[in-house]
Amino acid sequence: MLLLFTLPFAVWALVFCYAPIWGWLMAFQDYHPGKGIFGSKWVGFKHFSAFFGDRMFTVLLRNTMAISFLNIILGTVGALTLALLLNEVRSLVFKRTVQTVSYLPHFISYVVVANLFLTMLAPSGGLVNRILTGLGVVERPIFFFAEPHLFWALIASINLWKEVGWGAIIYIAAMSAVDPELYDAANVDGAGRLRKMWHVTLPCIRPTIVVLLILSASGLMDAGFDPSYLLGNPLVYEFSEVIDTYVYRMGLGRAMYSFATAVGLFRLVVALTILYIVNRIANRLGEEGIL
Amino acid sequence: MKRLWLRSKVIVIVLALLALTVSACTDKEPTDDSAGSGEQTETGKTGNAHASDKSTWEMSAWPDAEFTVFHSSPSHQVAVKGAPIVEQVYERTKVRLNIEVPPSNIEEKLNIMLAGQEYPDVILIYDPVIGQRFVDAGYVIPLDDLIGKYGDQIQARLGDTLDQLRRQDGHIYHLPSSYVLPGADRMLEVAESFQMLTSVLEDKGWPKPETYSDIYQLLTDVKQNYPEYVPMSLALGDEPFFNSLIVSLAGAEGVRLAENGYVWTEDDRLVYRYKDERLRNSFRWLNRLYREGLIDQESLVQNRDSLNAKMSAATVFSTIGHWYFNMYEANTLFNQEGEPYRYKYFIIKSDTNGGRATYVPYANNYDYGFYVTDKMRDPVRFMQFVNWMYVYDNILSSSSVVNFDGEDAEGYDVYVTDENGVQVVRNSTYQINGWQTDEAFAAKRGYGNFEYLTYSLGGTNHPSYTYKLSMQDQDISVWWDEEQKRINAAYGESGTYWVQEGIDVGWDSTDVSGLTVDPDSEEYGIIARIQPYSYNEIVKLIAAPTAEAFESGYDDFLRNIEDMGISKWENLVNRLYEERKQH
Repeated sequence: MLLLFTLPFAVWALVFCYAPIWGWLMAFQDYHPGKGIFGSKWVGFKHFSAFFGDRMFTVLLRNTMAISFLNIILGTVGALTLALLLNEVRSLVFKRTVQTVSYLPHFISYVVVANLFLTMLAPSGGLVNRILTGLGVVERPIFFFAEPHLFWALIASINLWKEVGWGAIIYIAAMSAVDPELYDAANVDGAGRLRKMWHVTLPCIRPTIVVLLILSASGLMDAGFDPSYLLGNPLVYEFSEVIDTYVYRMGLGRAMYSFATAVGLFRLVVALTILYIVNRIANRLGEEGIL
Repeated sequence: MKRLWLRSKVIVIVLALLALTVSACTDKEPTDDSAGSGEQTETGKTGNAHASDKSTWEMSAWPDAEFTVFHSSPSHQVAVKGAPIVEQVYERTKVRLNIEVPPSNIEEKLNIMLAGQEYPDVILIYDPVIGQRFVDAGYVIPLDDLIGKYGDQIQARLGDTLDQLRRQDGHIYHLPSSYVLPGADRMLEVAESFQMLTSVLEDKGWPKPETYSDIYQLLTDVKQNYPEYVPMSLALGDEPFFNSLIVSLAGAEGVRLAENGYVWTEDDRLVYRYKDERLRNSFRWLNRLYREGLIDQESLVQNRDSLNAKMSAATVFSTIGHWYFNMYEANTLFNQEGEPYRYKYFIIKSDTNGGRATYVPYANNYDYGFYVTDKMRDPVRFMQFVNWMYVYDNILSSSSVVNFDGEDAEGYDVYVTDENGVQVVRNSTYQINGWQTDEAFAAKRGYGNFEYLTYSLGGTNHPSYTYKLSMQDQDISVWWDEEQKRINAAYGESGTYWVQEGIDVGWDSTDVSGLTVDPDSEEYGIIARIQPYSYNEIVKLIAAPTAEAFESGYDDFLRNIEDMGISKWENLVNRLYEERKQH
């Protein structure tokens, strides 16, 4: 009977997640809005060929995977580190304050965040450059968002600042489930804080880390639309353009709906493949996967 | 008992959630009582009870009607509630227009509408390619029958031009917006130009820059002697600004740059704009300015809002582009604050341009206009309204509040008066003061709310007009505040200088404008990929660290676009041009 509670969500998933899947057919057509899917001409893999032959193909793939990879690594390590440190804090008030402050940026719109960092890192009058030049660290202001090779690091750092607190919540919750007797036993053995972290805390939350990593791995082809769209510019285009922004520009900017669908479908296939591979690796390493 | 109560509670909650989910998926049709019942025909609904009032054209007694309109200009100021011109039209026609303005990128918004099938009753589309997409999708209705039955004024004004509007299937799907009537005297006004802050110019004795070298000297001087100003700032992170910059540079180089991205060369060919050597020369010049620190670094990434903010703070000496979008806001603020300087625009020629400048293209094509969509509930009423708009007196009253008593009185935008025995319409002092002191004046009055639905009166004289353009109004010094008068006097410019200026830099683009590439063609895909690539590459080239890097980078860029197939697109465009010439 209680399973009936899942019915609305199942309907929601069916209607909004699975039903639109049939729109993938557009990738194999020259889609015309007026003719609809069943009236548009079938062209097979024409758009996939066009995408694979596009000079932007390798650029998009590289940028997407690089930014995602950095986000995953920094995000996981950062969240884990914050969780471990907070777990060691005894003062409840301090712990909760830090936790709250750290996850508040998660709720700030990326538009606000982008403008915040554009202003802070501006070459003329930006706070960071004023500090750097004032301290004599640099002679001339650094134009951060005009340096192509800095773009990935900037995006990853901004995402880390924005999401580390939110990401740490799950790890903190997992850590709170660790049996305190294990810590007592470690104390008896003379283990210090770091040893306890390494030998007790981390092994106990390893399944959680693995599951989250596997889920993150499926997002390796999802670098996010907002950072690249809001912080990218012509100077860093070769490093900022990702699949999401390319699909947006081509699909909605140039009304090349079929081409954009083909690009999106390609991304999905690659993401599923990566998810499967990572899950198999996790199984081989003795961890429980999610598939 | 408890279990039964729990079960029923669960069922109720589940049903409520289900209902919520389903209702979210329901396509809600807006209720609109303004349209009466009608019968379906091939072209749409034929109308309702008020069709029989057609002969009187007295619409003030008709039922209220409201139409939603998409206006394809991000700078359009939507009229505030109660704007006098809007109310004036409502009193006479009982029609209200609910106007939506795109945030910035018009193409994207239109393509989203196309994909999502979410569009209003009327769409104003400047790009004929996108217009054709809407036609092909079946989202817009043919207007032939409506014009035939309810558009006598439209037919009288457009005449044979109506045939030019027919598509391949023989139907008319759009009516042109703000076009100039055949036979009208056309006034050309410069838009794209080079703008400079007059405080520095005054300090230097009012030099008048005329060439790229003159600008270079000025910028160098500003950098050395006026550190409080950025010599030049641009908004290259904003693609619409970038496009207006290209038009300005093309004008300076004497390049005939058409809207669709091709240049009409002297040997009567159409080439992709960045392949033109003269435009390359302009980019080379910009690169030099950048390398020498005469263009600020932020130009490469900033948007128009940031540039406007800097200009309003008077921290920028110069910029390039559309003078209205760039400097109107800043000048209005300077006027309000009583500052002794303004931004002024100049027409510049490149050092290598031995001919005339070509800043203002004009055409007698009617490729852009407004389309009526299949969501229009009362196309008959709308066409009757448009037909009403094709009457001269009605255009006048839909664009301004007119004082027919000949008084230049408060609260009136224009007034009718006698000028050398001719009845003319003149701009009122009230309007002039409003534009100078209030950057939201257009919205408060309701300017531009209706004019795109008909032909343009602005800057034209036609034998059929009831009131002629005032010759005195050609003297636009009435629009200048005292500071602007002082500045323009220093340059010896009278209020009518713009008339000859427009003639000197205008060029007729009729033969080459609006050559539409089929959106389903391979060539369209080619140019769709090349355009964003070009934009990004040109901005990067402007920031090239050395002259050699610029040249080699530009050569690489040209090679890359050849590899991407630009020649194929050029061949198609030239073929279309040849076909047009043969017809």
